[in-house]
Amino acid sequence: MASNELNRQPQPKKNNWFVSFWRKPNIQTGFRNFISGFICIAIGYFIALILLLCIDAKNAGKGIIQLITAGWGYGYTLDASTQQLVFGRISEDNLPRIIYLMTPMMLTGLTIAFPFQLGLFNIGNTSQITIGAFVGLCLGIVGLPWWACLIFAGLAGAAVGFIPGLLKAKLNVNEVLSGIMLNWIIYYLIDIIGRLGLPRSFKDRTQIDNLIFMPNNARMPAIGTKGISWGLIIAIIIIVLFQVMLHHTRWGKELKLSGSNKFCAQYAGISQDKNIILTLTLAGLIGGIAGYMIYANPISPQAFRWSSSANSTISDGFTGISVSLIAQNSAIGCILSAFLLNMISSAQPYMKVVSSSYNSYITELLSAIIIYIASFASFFRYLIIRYQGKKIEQRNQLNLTRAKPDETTKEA
Amino acid sequence: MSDEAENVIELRHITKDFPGIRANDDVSLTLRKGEIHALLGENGAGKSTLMSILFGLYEPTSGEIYVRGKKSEIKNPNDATRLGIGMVHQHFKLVGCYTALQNIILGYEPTTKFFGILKPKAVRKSLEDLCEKYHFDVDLDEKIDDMPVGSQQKVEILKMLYRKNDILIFDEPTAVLTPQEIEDLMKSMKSLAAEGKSILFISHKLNEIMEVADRVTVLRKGKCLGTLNIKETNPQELSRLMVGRDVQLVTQKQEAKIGPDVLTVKNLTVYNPEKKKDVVNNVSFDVRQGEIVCIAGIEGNGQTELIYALTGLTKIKSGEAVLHHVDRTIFNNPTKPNQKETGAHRIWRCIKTNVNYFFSYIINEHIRVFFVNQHRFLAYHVYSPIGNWFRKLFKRPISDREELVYAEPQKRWKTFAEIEKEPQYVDVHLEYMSVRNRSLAGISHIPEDRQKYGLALDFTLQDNLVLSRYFQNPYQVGGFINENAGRIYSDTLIDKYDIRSSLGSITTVRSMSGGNQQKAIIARELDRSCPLLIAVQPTRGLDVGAIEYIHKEILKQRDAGAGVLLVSLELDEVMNLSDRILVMFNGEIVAELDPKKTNVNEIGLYMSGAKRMDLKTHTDIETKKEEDVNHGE
Repeated sequence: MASNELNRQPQPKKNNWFVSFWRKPNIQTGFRNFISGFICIAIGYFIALILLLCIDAKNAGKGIIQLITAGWGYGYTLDASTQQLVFGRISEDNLPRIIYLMTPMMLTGLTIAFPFQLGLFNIGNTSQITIGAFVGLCLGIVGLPWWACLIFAGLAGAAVGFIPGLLKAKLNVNEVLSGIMLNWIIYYLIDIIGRLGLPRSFKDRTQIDNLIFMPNNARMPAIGTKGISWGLIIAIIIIVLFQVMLHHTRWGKELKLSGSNKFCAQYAGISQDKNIILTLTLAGLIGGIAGYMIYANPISPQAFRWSSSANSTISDGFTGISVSLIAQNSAIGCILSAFLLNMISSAQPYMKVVSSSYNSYITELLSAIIIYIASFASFFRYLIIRYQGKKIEQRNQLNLTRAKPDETTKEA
Repeated sequence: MSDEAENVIELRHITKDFPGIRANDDVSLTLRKGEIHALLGENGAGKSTLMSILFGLYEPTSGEIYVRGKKSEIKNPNDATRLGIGMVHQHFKLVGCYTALQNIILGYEPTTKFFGILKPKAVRKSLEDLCEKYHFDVDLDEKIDDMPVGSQQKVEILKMLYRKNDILIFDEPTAVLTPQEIEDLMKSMKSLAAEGKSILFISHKLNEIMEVADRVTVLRKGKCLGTLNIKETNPQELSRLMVGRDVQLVTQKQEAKIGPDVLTVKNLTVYNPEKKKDVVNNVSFDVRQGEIVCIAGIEGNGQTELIYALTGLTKIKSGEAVLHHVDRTIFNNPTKPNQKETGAHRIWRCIKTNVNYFFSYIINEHIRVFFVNQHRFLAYHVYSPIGNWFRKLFKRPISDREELVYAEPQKRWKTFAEIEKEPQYVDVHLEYMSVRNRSLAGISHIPEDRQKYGLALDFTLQDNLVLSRYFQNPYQVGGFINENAGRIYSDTLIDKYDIRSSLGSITTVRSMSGGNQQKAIIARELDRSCPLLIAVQPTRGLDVGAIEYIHKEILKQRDAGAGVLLVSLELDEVMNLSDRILVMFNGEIVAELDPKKTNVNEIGLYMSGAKRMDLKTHTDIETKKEEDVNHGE
């Protein structure tokens, strides 16, 4: 045995490709994120089960199964003849509906998850989404095709995302403050433009304060007839691009370094200002595209309503925070997280069927509980790391080699 | 110490395993009452782990602890405090925005019986008595952040005394102190021991151990090599036990082969808006090839800010720093470091030069001409009014490629033929360059605070070792990181520089010991072989073997022709390594000394401001101050 070579550290045996792939730090981090997110979701469902038991114990089992499966289109319905709950297919449209709702939500989650690598909380994504939607809609009404609307919506969002970035980089203004103020600025700006600037043809005759629906040329082309559009493919491509960019490119490594230790990043020569501005601008780009996609679905789109009347667009960006929280701030996780949230909320109309004492808002409660517990996810990650550490320790128990007392440091 | 003195602490056959490593291997230690017992060992030998076991931060895998003859289980620091054991860590566990008093009573607050309202006044008197007894000059109402490091350490000691601890553990107490504070601490430790308190302290500084300890235990690689009486041993034997071979305590160095200037600093001024004064005040010096210039001074006199200004981490208010003989072609394409300049590069440079000339000379008549050295080229910077405005508004140039200094003053358009003839090696002005460009130009920087600036603690060792080169071609290709190339490079560096970590290249740097972290930084910087090496306290927190190694490496760089600018607080290192000593006091250079002709006392006088030297004539100036000069802490 050449004991001089096995001097300092235990030499591991050569691993096969799967093990060496699995042990990469990136893969391990992603795995831990996924498992800890999954644990949060499982705990959320468990608490919902307890709640259902408290309300109506007899149908609690059926209730929780309804919560899980109704999103996929299967669940309990009341059979008219036997007055019993029967498990079967309840809806064909649920899954496509989830997918078309999920498309913009994924990107909204990404607008929060991506700047978080740098330590920035991009809460101004609402302004980016709103301006993207507005610009996309106006250009669509004017007559541009969908891909041009998409690009210009993205550019508008990027321009709006540039402002908090510039303020943070040069004047050290907190991006949360400038983001929230910009949300309201854009909100009222669109109101002013809408009331004073837009021609009549843009506005909906039947309902005041609405723009007309997006004309057909500006809608995204559909896949099938159920409402899934090419937007899904675009969104997934964007997310995968960002994931690859963050973990496999030089710039992504610089971003992670700046987020982890900004002094070390400065020492390594990374320009903090440039990175902050670029990150928030890119997040704005994604936000603009997300905003456009909300209103450009081929079937049953939403209508753009602006301020003074009850408007929910000011909180569009906040769903991104919940998506990103459950996804542990990872880009790929946003896909699954958006799917989960929409899956839960699409079970809403089906809860009353199981038992009349179940309020349909139990789904909202379940979402809220999962989001709340997702903030503890780092604790679960710590537990996973400890568990993995114990396994490594057991594995290495027999392989402990330290240098013998006479073979010491290398000759200088 | 009589043999009947009881053993206050007995550690029997302590073993501690971590995943992948056995930190303590069957270590036994006894501590007598009223003695000062030193624990000596290299970095990574297991000293801190052993003391953490004693203090309750870890539990031993096997082994027993006997406190005052009774077997005890110490599961957490509260158990340890109840048994009378207290610990002062190397990195203090103090809350910066609290006052000293609040820190001392934190966790052991005196409260009223009902409602738990705090009663700090009750203990203030007893704490003040303690301060007087041990001659601690600590203001109990001063915030920790405002205190010097020596006083912070005294607050830590007071914490232990307040909890009536009899067994005091010090983890590398002198690593962060100035020489005067070290003397203070030695006096305090002796008076504490004379009272009957038993002190265990971890150190690797042999002269302090020889001065103050009664017995010493040597650890090496987790194993205990025995306990010796100080009177029966000497530093040479201790270092041989600690490292395993004979260690040269004073590095032998060859004669310096001094070449032309590498760095010239003239009238550098750096302003600190928080302290509202010029922390570096009109500093001028130069560093030549093949020379080690050492800046000595008490911490806080502007050396840190000077180095940050030279490396780009702080803005320079006025003055200049010129790096000589820089290869201009590096800036053409930083991702390909060894690429020769092609015709395309020259064409692009021709276009840039002429555009710059158009915007600057034609449009703006104000040209700043600046003489570097009358025997060399003229250097100038030319900015258009827009460029000037931009520069003032954002305090930086428009494009960081325009910072270079060109040879001749440009009074007309440059043809392509003239661009081709421009010399490859130019002198560059550092004050207009970004951090990345400065390091590309040839400055390697070993930072003072290794955890804040030098390393990304949550990243792997591989990422940290590749940090100076990750944007260059084998390690990133077309924007994508090439992990294999990085792994090979980091493995070679780990082999070459003997960096110890639990898992090799994929260890998280946070889990490595301080000495190995410093070795990683040094490996990364020295492997680049840059013409100018700036090292700020490179051997802080390291043991004798590592210090010897680092000194040898720095001397190797010097002998290969690099210029080294060293900043150090350890006067032995200053005297040992340097070819020229510059003493800094209050932001100014007050002396320039030759180490062969001076001694530590004289340097100390300049460091404390008692003497000044006129740098041109090398004679002392009478200090005109009438009030007492501050002689340091």
